[in-house]
Amino acid sequence: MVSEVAPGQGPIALYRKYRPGRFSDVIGQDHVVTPLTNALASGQVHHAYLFSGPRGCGKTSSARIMARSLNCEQGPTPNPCGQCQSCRDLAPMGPGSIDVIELDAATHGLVDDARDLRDKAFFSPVQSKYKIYIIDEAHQLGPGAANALLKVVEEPPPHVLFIFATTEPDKLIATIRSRTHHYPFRLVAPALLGEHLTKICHQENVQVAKGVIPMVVRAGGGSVRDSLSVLGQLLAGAGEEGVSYEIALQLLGFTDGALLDDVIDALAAHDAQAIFTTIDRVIDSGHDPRRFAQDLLERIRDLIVLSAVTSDDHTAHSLFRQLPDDQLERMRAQSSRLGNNALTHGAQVVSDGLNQMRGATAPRLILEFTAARLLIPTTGDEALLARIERLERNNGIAVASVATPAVPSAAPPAPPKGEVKAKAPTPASVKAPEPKAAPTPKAPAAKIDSIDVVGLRRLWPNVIENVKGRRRLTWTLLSASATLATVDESAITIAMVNVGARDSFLRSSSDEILREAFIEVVGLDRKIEVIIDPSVNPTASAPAAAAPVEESVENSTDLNSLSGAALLAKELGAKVISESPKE
Amino acid sequence: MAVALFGAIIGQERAIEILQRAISAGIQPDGSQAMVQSWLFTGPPGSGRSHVALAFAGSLLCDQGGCGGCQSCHLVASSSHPDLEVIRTEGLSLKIDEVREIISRASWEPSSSRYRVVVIEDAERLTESAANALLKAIEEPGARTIWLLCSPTVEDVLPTIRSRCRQIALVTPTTEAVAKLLVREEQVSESVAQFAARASQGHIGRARFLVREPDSRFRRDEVITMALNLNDVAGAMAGAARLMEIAATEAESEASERDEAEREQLANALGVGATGKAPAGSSKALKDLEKEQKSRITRATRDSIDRALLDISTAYRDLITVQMGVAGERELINEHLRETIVKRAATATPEEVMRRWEEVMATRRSLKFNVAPLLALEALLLKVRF
Repeated sequence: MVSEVAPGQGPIALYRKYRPGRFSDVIGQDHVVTPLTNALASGQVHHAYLFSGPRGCGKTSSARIMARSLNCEQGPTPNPCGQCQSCRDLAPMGPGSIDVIELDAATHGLVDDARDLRDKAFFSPVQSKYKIYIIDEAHQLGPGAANALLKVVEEPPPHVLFIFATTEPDKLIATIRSRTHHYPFRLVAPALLGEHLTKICHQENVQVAKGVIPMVVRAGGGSVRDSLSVLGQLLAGAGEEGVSYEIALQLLGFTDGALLDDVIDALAAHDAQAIFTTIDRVIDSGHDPRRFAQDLLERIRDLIVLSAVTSDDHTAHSLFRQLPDDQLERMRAQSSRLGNNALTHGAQVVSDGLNQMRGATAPRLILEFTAARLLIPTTGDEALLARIERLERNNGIAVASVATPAVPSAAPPAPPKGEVKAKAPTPASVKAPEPKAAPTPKAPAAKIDSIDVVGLRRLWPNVIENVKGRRRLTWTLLSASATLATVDESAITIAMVNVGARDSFLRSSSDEILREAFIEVVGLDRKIEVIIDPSVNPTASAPAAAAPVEESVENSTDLNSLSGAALLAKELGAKVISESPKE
Repeated sequence: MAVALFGAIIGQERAIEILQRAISAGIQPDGSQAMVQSWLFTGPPGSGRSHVALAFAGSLLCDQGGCGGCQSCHLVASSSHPDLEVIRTEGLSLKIDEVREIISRASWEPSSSRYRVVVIEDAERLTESAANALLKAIEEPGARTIWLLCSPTVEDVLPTIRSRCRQIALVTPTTEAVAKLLVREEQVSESVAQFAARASQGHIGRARFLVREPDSRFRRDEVITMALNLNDVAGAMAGAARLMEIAATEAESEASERDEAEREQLANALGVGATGKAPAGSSKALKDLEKEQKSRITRATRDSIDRALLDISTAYRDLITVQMGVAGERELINEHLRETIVKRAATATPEEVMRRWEEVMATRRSLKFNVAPLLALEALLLKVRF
């Protein structure tokens, strides 16, 4: 498959030098190559093909191989002889054959070109069996040109064959697609690509250090041509002793894993100093800020994946096969230190930063901006969740899941002040536990060691909401006329507006209900005590209450009628006009 | 191997090393992979993409690999080398017709040198169809054709183009490198050079401008101080108006001389003022020129506003640096305003500054979508007052 460079040729890129010349040399496209080979072997050749797929995975090469296989003197055969005139002409780097016409639709995509092609197609081939049109970049065919080709593509003369090659088959009009056999090419799997690259290095007689090939594969993103472009660059930079890992790292500009470790560790420790120092190091060592951000994003992605498979050792190992064990362990520790929300938030921020770096005037400034945003989450759900997560961790409250409620400590690290901060921790800690507030009652209860009334008050609406599901009467009483007064080691004290409310509260054993609600929502098991405080304005903390309800709550002595009146008032907006005493 | 042509380029040692290898391999083919025919130069604005590409082109054309003294090198320097084609556009895009023309010329044999080199300075401005038309040409160019494309980032060109080229990633030159260059070439004092290098964030053209025009330095300081001391609504409105004024002044000062010269040249060419009847369509040609100049001023104004916003964000960056307590060993970008910054840092929280920074970035984005600049600035300054 190595071909001699024709005399008088300029420098040849690797991807041209190692273009496959037969189907058996095409790698990673078995799903396409096998049917094509079979078709060639059995002589069942269609008159129009469409090869589609991402850049550099073998479309144009396959089209040329197809032509070579068809026009070989022994053909059609899946194994062109390589000896006959046609085979030599159509070999990679060969001069080309007069009967194989390769057209660039991007430069010949006008209707006149198509008409010209259509007229010429009817002439017989000069020296081969078939006259083959390879139309490359077919997505650039103008609509006029594509339509002009329709008839001839549908019913070509027996000696004519069309092969369309494109990266964007969707842009090709449907009527062309329906007249062709469509073969979608795929990106090549890393393992296969690595093998291929190793073989080429061997043929080029260059020593390549361990770990370089995986790096090339990663940079190539599954495309053979991309990978070979990168490999060529490395071979160009190779010294006497071949390509060393350090040279490759430097040439490809990949960020050293240690720098990434530093940033992630600093992020977990919330150490601004360390993060910014690392950024300085990144810039000073001549790294591209974009590249660094990209690598950081990839690392965060790895950490997210790791945290998803955290319990399964085997899966983690098979997912990150290329990583040495100690690195995997380090990354695991990083992922568990940071937590899921911080990671997703981090990914979000870094990806935003990458977008902003597109054509930005000052990539370094943007990188610093991104780093600062990682440290100081401001707005957005992810930011808030990341913040909560941090608070929870700082308070040492172990949580079963992200949404498990916990009481924020009295003083969050940065006490709220100003508009941003006022909205930052408060609504979040109230909101977050609400949707999934169904943990086992006992687990969190044991863990809470410091409780404070401010934090509890934030959760008060949730408690009341929970009570609603238990008994409506209790809920009505609480939402209408009670607030949370104090909390201490032995009891939670609530304040009620007047004696009547307190009496009906105690009489209906609502305190037991409330206690259960507290256990479930907050995980706090305390006796409930009630005091009277006429100044209480429960609507401030529990907006659900309606004023008229209060009245009926106080005056009523009957459990059922009370609950009914309250319900009517609440649900239907009814007003108590007069009450007739029961017998 | 002579390196004269690369002498003027700073901070790109790594890239130049690769290119030097390519040049020697290109002059004396050794069968290695050092030289290929399609290259893609990427790097942030001001890092000197096109300069590096041109130096590389000149070196390939010169028999000594870029001596800087021979006829070929002189021709390159005066951009009249027959085998060098440089494509740059003042307009918004490079159209397919131009590209087709380039492709057909590119496959000619070189007339006097070893190679025929085509440099496309703004590959990011290739329209999609134009870029597609290039694909085949850069994948399998003529035996002696070299393609050099430049774009700010690899994302700015089609992935199919990227995959066919060898990439040379240029970096933002370090502050020291820029400062050294300024001291050497602009003959300014060390402190001014340091300031300009920091303030321009490695954008060499911007740094030179700051050094050459003292007024621009004062204007920059004015903008930053204004942003730092923004306390009330009146200040915000006045600040926005002042920002616009500054932007207009900067655009004016850049444009006025050139515009006048251009106008005169065209008028001369059309024979305006000579005896006899002026040729048909001459007044329209003049009008067209004026229109073009006007749109250029609009663009310059917008660029200048964007620069001012970036300047403001450097101040926010400094604020956060101070607030996070890392300002001790790290240099502030606006070191000369340290006192003001430290004072302001004490009265706000990092979250507040961060939010302001985000607002500035958001405004930069919306300005790209043709929002009325004054309105956008007023809205921004109202939001970022302390």
